[in-house]
Amino acid sequence: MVDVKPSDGQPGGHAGPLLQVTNLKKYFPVRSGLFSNVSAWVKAVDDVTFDIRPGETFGLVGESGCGKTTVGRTVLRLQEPTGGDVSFEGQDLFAMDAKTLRATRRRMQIVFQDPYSSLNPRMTVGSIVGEPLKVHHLAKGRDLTDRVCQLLNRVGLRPDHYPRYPHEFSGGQRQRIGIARALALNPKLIVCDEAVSALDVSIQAQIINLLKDLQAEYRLSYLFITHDLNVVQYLADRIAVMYLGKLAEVAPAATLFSDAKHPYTQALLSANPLPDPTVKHERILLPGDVPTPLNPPTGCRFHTRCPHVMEHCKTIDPPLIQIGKPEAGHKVWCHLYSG
Amino acid sequence: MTEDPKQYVEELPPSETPWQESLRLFRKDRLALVGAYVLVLLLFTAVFGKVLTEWVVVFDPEVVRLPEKFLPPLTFSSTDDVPAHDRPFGGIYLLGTDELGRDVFARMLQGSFVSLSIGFIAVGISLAIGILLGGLSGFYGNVRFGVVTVDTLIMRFTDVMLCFPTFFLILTVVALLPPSIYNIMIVIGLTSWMGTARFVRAEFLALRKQDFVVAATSVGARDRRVIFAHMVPNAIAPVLVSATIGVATAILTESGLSFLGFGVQPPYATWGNILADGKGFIFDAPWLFFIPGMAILVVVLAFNLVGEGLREALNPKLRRR
Repeated sequence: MVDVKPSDGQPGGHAGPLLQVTNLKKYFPVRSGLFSNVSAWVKAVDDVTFDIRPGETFGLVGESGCGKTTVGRTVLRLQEPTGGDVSFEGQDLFAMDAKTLRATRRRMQIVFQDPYSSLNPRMTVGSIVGEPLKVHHLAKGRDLTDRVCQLLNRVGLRPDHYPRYPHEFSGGQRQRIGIARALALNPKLIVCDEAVSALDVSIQAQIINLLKDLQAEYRLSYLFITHDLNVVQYLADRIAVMYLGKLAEVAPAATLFSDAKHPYTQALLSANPLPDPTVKHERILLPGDVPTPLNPPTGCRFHTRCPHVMEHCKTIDPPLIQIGKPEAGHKVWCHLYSG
Repeated sequence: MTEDPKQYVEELPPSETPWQESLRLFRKDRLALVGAYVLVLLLFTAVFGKVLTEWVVVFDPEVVRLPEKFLPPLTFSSTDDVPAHDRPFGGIYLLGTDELGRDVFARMLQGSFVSLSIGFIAVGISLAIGILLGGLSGFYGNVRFGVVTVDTLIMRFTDVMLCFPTFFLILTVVALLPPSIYNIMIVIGLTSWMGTARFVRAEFLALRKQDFVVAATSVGARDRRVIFAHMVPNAIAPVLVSATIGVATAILTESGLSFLGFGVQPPYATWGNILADGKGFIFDAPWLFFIPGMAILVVVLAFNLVGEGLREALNPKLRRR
């Protein structure tokens, strides 16, 4: 492969995390009335802080509607944030003008959940994969065709798939096309928004392996958003657990699965089916449903369903607690450990 | 690579573009195909009609032959009553004559071009306005002007336009303007764009949320590219359907106007004013209203059938049959 290799080292001498997300907030207005007055806010993401290091896979898990997709899209500034900061390679993403943002987007890409709606049905595979190169004037004519064919090859498709249309491919193949499009610009970071959730298990395994290979080859970082614990356990270096727009716990993958601290993480892990049906594991059943993000509970957002709820959980926001040494990187937002 | 690439490369069926697929589906629809043939025939008739009645006058719609008035269809012209240069082509009145002895076939030919051109141009104008306003509203709808958004502004204006009883609005305007075929085209166009605007907006709103449109933004495509490369090609199918049916509506409106005497002015023939002239002689010369009436019915029906056929063929939910 030529051309597609990323430059080694940090551009601009930037060291530290590739992506630093600080107190990210995204509220959606609920409009009503004649002049569309804002009557309420849906707090989809509320004060989320994390970072992603170069070459790392950062898993973001949580149940449907907890705001994980919104985090992914806001981090790429596909949606405008309500508050907080995101810096990518040391540059403030939210302060960028349109031109700088377009240039920066070359280094951060997204792979979508639904392989059926993420490809334009009226464009050929070749023009879909070649579009990023064309938009940034990186290649044209023969050169463009060559590079697109290389990309198709790299993701396990054949160059003769170039003139075909998305509807002619299976779900797994479409996801490969989406990955080829994301790779076209040599990004540093790829946000995988439930990238394998819509595929069946054997195809999932192929795509996950492809993602791992590409990561090793191009030193990619992934923000891997999913609800599938088995997938992140296999793929992620560190995992963040999200509940109702806030982070509950962040830990290295192995630590999270062996020594989860937050009651929500514990409940989530206990709901994860194990491959061996003879192993009995205790199921922690949470009472009730997830409260609406329109009017989230005060204090700890999990207190309405927490088995260990205490009186002050209901009023006071839980502080960030480091479990063990700070280098271990195990953080939890819970009053249980603040004593 | 941890696995053999051949393992998951499947053989694909022969390639087919989305348009080819739609065409294949359309061909399966018998009724729509009949409609399409009728329209092709009409197109030829209209073009030849224009040429043969106005440029190379073979069929003259304006010759008055009082001795041969009210002849039924397929009657031969009698050589005694009419001077040789006034006789119809081939000496036969294919569709009879009217109360002034004018050849109805020639008049129908002339009228077919008027009907079709009014249909196409009026729809062209309404599409241009509808796509522009609908697109603006759908893509830049969130931009605010003080208390109102672009979307509110455009869509409320559309609602206001929809409140007028269109036909009477057209009647009023046409009555005030000098009667000309161009004014009629423009007025019909200006009063029929609301439906197009509404669903172009709806299509755009739906498409904007689609992942492939978000993906285009995320690879760094500008608005112009997002709109014209990604959204318009995907929004155009329903526009095409409504345009087809819109042509039928425009033809009907023109016929209605001409019937009421506000349309194209005599002696220039249109289907509407042939029908209007014929209504006084329903019992004496039934072909005078039956022929233009049938022509309007068949053409409008054909446009509707083709429109429905397109709707089916372009519907992505009915794909893969």
